[in-house]
Amino acid sequence: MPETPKDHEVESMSYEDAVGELEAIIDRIESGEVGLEDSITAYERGMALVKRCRGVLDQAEQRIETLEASRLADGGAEGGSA
Amino acid sequence: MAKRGLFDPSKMKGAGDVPPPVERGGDGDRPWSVSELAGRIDQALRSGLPAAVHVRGEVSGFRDRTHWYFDLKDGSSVVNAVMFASAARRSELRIENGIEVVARGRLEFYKPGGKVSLIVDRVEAVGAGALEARLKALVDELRGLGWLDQARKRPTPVFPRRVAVVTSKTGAALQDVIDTMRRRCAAVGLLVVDARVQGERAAPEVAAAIRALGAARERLGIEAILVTRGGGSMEDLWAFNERVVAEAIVESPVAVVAAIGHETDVTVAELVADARCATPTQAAVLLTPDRAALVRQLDSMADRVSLLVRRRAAGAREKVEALASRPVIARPTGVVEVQADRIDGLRRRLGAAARSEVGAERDRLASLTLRLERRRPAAEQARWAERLDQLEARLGRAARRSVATRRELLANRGRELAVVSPVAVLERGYSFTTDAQGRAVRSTQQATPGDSITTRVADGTFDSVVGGEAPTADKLTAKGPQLDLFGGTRGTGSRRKR
Repeated sequence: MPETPKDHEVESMSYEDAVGELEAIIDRIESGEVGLEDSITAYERGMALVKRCRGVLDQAEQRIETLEASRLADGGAEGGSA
Repeated sequence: MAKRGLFDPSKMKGAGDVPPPVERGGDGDRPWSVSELAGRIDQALRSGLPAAVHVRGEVSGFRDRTHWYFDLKDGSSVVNAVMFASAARRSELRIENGIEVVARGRLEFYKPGGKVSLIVDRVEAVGAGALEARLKALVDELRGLGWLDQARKRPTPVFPRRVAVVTSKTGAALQDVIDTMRRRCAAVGLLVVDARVQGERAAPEVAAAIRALGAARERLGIEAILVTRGGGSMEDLWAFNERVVAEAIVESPVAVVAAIGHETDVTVAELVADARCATPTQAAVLLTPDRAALVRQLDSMADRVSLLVRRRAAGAREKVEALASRPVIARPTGVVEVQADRIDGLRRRLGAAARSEVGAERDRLASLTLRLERRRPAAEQARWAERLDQLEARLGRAARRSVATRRELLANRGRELAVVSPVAVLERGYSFTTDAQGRAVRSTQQATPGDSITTRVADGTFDSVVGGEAPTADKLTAKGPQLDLFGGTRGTGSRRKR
């Protein structure tokens, strides 16, 4: 349990990472291997993760960006193109 | 491909109409109308070409819409063709893309569409098409390299943050992808990479885009690449059968999903991609989670966490309640009271113990004092004196007792002695004779005539000489009476002593 949940840290997590940690938290609380206080801390973090996940899912606006293939190859192809 | 849709056979009725007479307007006199030009083209076709032509080419863009529409192609040219339903029904050859055919028909100019079409009435196969053969050879080669192995393929992300779509910005495929992804889950970002998807430059451009995306995947934040385009003829889709594209896909560090053309079209890009989808829409579905399902899952997880913690807290509360109801907590003074009682008890016991201890000590002290007193020199002396007195008394008593005893004993002995005394015997008339040596003469044998003997009587002695003959023995000399006369040896010792 990395102390108290840090909002900015949770807010930048990917959905899959957040859900993965949430599952781990549930497993941990379920196994009974954490004490009451720790389980409450874990709960708080779990809820922060839930909030993060809901935030992702509730995103209504799809972010679409368009690049020209030629420009992408020039600007982003550090590894070079074929 | 869109161009082919303009050819509408229902409007072909007019095709057989006699074109309007060509007006040879003088130079610059009056421009032709489009219809006039169309008529002139149609006339030129009819007059300039045989009524029936045989054309060899590869079928592509085949569509079965009651009438058959397709293109006949070779390396550099395309001619639209149509086989009306009546002719199509009669055809022994089932036309499909990629096959090479010889089509027989006539050319017409379709005025409403402005296109020249070959109206095919018969078609014959010429064997597998060249493109088809090339494709097969490439697929065989790539299969040999293991590029088609399922084991090599990576899983596609369940919930990618961002997906790059390599396709034509203007194609219908992109719109399908955008719509589907937005509908399923708007949270998945899209990076559209506009690339040619048709024509000679399409393959290198698509390949370069895939490679560039792979190289910049971190910066761009993409977790999957979708390579897609809508349906088309084999030639239209050919870029996705090029080796360069397959290579870029296989070498991509990011999972690649390919959805090229319609379901019936299978391209090399799709064969080597990590996942193949029949349509762009399906690909979008694959790469976008179902938001509703995720919301349900998340709700269930949130409920579970809450429930677990509530249950945990309830359990802890129960435990606390149970502890709180124990006397220690419920009536803390009780504990003090119990302790006070205990202390009282202890104090009592301590008092008793102390008292009994003091008593014992006192007794012990008295006893020691006594012993010490006894050991005191004066006391010791007194004791000894006392003892001495006792001994003295005892000695006195013993001595007295002893003297008395002896005196009495002596008297007794005296009496006894008097009884056996020879004096008394002598007084009774007996005498006692001894020889010259003083030995008692007890036998006649000891008295030889002439011997001097001394005889004692009660009041003294007198000497005699044995005369006559040898003395005679008589019964009186028997032992018994003599012994009796002086009997008892007992008193002899004590007599001598005294």
